[in-house]
Amino acid sequence: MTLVAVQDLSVDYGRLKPVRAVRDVSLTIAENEFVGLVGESGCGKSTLGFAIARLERPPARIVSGRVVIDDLDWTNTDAKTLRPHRWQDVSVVLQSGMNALNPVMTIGSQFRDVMVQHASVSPDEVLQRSYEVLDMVNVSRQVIGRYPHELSGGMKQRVVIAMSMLLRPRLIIMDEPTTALDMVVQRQILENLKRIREQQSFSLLFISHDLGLVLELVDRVVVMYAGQVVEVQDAESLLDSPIHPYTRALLRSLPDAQRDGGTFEGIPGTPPDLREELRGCAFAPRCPLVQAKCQTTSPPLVAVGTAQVRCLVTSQEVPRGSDHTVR
Amino acid sequence: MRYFARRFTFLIGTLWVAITLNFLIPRLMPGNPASVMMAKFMGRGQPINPAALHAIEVMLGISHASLMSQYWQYLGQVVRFNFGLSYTQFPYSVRYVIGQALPWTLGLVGLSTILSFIIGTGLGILAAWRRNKMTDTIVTSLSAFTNAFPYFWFALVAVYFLSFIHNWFPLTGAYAIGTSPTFSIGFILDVIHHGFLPALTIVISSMGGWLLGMRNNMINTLGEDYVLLATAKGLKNRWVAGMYVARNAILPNITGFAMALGFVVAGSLLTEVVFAYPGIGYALYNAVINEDYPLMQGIFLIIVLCVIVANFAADLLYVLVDPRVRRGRA
Repeated sequence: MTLVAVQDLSVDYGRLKPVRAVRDVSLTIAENEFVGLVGESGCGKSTLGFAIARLERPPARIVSGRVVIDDLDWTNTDAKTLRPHRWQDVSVVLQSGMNALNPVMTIGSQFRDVMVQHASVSPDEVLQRSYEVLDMVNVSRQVIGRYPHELSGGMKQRVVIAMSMLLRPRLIIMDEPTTALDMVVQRQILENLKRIREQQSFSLLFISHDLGLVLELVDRVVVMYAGQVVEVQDAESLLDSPIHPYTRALLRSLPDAQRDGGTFEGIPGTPPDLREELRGCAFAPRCPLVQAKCQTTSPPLVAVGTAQVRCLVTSQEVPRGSDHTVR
Repeated sequence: MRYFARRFTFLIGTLWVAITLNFLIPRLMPGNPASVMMAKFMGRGQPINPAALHAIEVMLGISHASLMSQYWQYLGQVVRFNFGLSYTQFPYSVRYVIGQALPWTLGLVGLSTILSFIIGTGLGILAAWRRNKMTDTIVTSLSAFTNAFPYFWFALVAVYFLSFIHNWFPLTGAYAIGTSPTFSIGFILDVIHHGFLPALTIVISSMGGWLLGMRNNMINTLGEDYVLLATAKGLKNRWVAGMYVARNAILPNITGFAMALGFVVAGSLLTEVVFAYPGIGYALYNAVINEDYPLMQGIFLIIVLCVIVANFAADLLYVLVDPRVRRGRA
């Protein structure tokens, strides 16, 4: 069952000489599916995440496309009608959990307000559910009476994740939820999320620049480059056989102790200026496999087995060895 | 509690420094009020009669004792709010003169400061919430305009048109000449009638500052992640605007407000002079004109006292509104 369907979504920043941060993006998220959205900074992944939740802030604006969540078109619904669906259907976890909590309200009252404004619940039920979600993320129940500044960064981020669970949403969008945290806390949160998945069913859009982290958690990966989706593939097969040259480069940029003693490479060059109309493939200037046609023809997103790829060269390759489509 | 104790010690310390400076500064100046007075009486160039000078010194309570013993005496007097006698309103004590003037100032300037804070902050919240819409454009540009008025000019124009030309409001005073303060409906209405114009000018000229400040704070706070998250949580608009945005944006304004309350006594000079309102500012103005040193000193001390106490109150208020200040608790 498809829960979220994004169709040809484009998001601009500004009106005069706008920056097109998201370009005709289409993607779907099934119920209970964990989807990872990866790409380097500035590729439009956060903009896309915010636009899906209709949280884009001026100067960002959706110029075309649709976002349908649970049969409701979120792009075509006014704020008033949308309000009851927020948090109930889609909740979000922001990158900087540190600033995501209101400094003058206790954690408990920030849990309470969202619950009482969405349903008629008794104070007992509010407390019960608050304890439940705090238990899920392994945070002491005592934080209910604490203010955000009394918690550590890792605790705050876990509290924010707990908050996103409160109304048992269908979809949670997490925008770099572990980026500001150290490796140990990152690991704990990842384990937390895996365990919560066993207790509660929900879909997840996990936005991160860290492909390694994403591969550990999600079922399917969406790779973005210069505002476009360049590859969509199941996490397991992506690790073995990435198709797009950019995805391959991303994988090579991960330190892998098991394979060859911890060597990794960067990707030379910089992404294109998004104010300009793209001519040909956006990745062509940095691509090791670039051909003449890449400079002039914009590659479409085409199916390769169960994956989708936006590349004129690698999508024509003969599948190698143990094919991912077989699995 | 520890926070309170620390703040309180600080308050006492500041008070002591202020009182001591208030004692020292006039005494470090050359000459004394008695010789000034004598010089005024005798005219220039004539010799001063030492007996007369001594008589005036005794009358005014000017002492030639050591600075230290004068200081102890002074401290004792200040604690009992005894500031000596006023020269110009002799034989009334400074305490009496201040006591007569203070309620009028506190009433007029205090109320209009509170009103202008409430109205200004409220409109600032509204303007920021509807930013770049019609309400915002009108309210913000209008308040930038009124904020730029020189206060005395605005007050004079108001007096000229509304009191002098149209006679809608009385020209001077806090109540009609010939009546004396009583607690009757008629008298209270009379006071309101007299106070309306000065209050209006204060509110209009100071409201813009609160409005612009609040609007700026609001717009900064609107960019915070917790506000974005509040929207994502699907909370009601009013709740987001109130508890998430305004509640945080108002914090710097509260400090400003407490400071403004402290300056209520001092800052009213122009209003009270223009409207000949019988408050502290007017009394200070007269004291300066007439070289009434004890009265000046008394008023200065009251002003300093108000500022320090208001500061203290702001600190305490801050504890209530900003949990991050509550240290020493957890």
